[in-house]
Amino acid sequence: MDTKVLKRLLWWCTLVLRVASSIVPHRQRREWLREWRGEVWHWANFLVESERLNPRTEHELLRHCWGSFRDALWHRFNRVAVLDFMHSYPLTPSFCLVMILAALLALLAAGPISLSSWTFVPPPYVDSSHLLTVSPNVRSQWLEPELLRDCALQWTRSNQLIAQATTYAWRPSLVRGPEGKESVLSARVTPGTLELLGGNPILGRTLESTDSSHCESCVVLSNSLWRSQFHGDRRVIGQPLYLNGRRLEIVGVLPAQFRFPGFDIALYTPFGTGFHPRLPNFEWSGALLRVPAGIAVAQNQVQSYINQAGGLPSDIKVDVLSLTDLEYQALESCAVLILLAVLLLLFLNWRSVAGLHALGASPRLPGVWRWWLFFITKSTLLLIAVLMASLELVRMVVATLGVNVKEYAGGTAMWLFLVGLTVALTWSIRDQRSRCRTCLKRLQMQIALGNSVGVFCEPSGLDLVCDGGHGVLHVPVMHLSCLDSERWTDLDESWREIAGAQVGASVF
Amino acid sequence: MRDALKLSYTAVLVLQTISSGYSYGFDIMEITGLPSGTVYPALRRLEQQELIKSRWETEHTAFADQRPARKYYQLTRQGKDALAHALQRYALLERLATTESSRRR
Repeated sequence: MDTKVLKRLLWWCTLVLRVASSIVPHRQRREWLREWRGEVWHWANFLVESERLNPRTEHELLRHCWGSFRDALWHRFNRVAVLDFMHSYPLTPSFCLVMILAALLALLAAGPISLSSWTFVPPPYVDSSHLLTVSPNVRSQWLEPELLRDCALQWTRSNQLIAQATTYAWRPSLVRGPEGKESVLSARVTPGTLELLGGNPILGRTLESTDSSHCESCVVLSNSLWRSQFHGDRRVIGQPLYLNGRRLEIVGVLPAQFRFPGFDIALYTPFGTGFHPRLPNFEWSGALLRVPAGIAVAQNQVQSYINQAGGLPSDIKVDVLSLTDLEYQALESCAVLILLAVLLLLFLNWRSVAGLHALGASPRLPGVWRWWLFFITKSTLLLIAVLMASLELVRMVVATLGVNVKEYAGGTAMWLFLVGLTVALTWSIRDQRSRCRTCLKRLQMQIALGNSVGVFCEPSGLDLVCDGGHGVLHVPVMHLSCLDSERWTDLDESWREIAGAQVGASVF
Repeated sequence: MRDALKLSYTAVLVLQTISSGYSYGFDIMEITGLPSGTVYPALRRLEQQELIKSRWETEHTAFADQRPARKYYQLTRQGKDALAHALQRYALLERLATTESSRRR
């Protein structure tokens, strides 16, 4: 009977110990478990041999086994290990990258709609693999929207590759609503344009084919305009809104995910049926085509067809692009702008960068790679963080102060980005220079050399020694001096042990 | 000696128990009445401070008795010194030390 009870008791104790052992660091786990199991085995057998095994002592033994969790936690987070970790981890390159990544994640969490939807979520188009955009070439003459509309209708009839064609014309406009005036982009669209892009309204309806003739004052709002002017009021349908002084009636609101390709259009009105001659460059036109054969097959054929037999004037040439190309075009121009800003800053900081190169990693090849890889990764992450922070900051200010400051948002964001980037790059270079050239840890052990009085007679300044004993960085008192300069000296293997001992001593 | 002054009452109690000849975890628990969650971390800490040292019983001995090997703890020279100093501070423990010594004799 006792044997059975003993087996059961040992089984339960082992189970508890095994669970607790998962907390213990892997390299100590085996020995830890061995000690506890040995103790439990002896205790349990002692209880049996001394005939003291009863429910009370069983519970007592199990309770002692629960204590193993505390012991396991001590192994995982004991004071010395924690102190050691807290002392050494902030100096490591991984800590630096983790901190920047954490800042990035915090920014992403702070602005889920404005940034993440713009940057990471794919465009919500229904079938982007079968949609093409048509827009006049940059070197081409201005194209009248009505002419493009008529030509687009012709294309669907005469070219089998094009199943559907819709036209739009966009222009900068002034909207006046309950929250005041706001500068936005508005677009006139032919029926079916929003449906072609997957714009199912969250309130009301989109524009219908009869609206062009019967409801020219109908307007569909983008989600952002609905929020900025009406604070997301669901009773917005039927309410008035003034576009360039003309009274319009709201018939629908688009979802937050909806995005017009290439432009941030805030409201959509019917294209109109008549021909309204306008001044050149008053508004800009484009067309959307649905090609059942797929963009890979149809793109080049459609472009050559429109440019050669599309019915457009001979001095007008168009670009036919897929929606993905259009998205990338916007990103490309943004990337070029950022690259130019970075190059400008690097040029302005050329002395620091040159110093970074001269003081670079120790000549061992893996060290050189790690040195520059860390610098580039850190700087890139910082650049992204600064970009996101400046956009998010401006978004928050606009959200707080209202639509009146919206027109300054772009410029402010750019200036914030440039200032932030200057600070970030300068910090990144300085941080890099104060790191060990071998292990990339920040140099913390400081030794003051000489004094400023004897600066001309002896090397004065600060020697920063690597914790791991890899080398010493000499930082002179006078940075811009021909007498003494910042230099890195590699230490041989014998220093590693001494440095290691000192680190240990400082922890205890 | 500066380290010895920093020893907590629990640590000194554990040291004293080991010094009295109780050399493994459950034995120390039974004598001191402290729970396992206190005794084992205390043993780890004392071992880290080099006041005690541990050794595994030989596998041969354990195998001969058909039981798992145990880990035994014993005081180091530093541990003995630290205990001697600590006992001056904790007068009650000194009495326990005297009692235990006479009992084991």
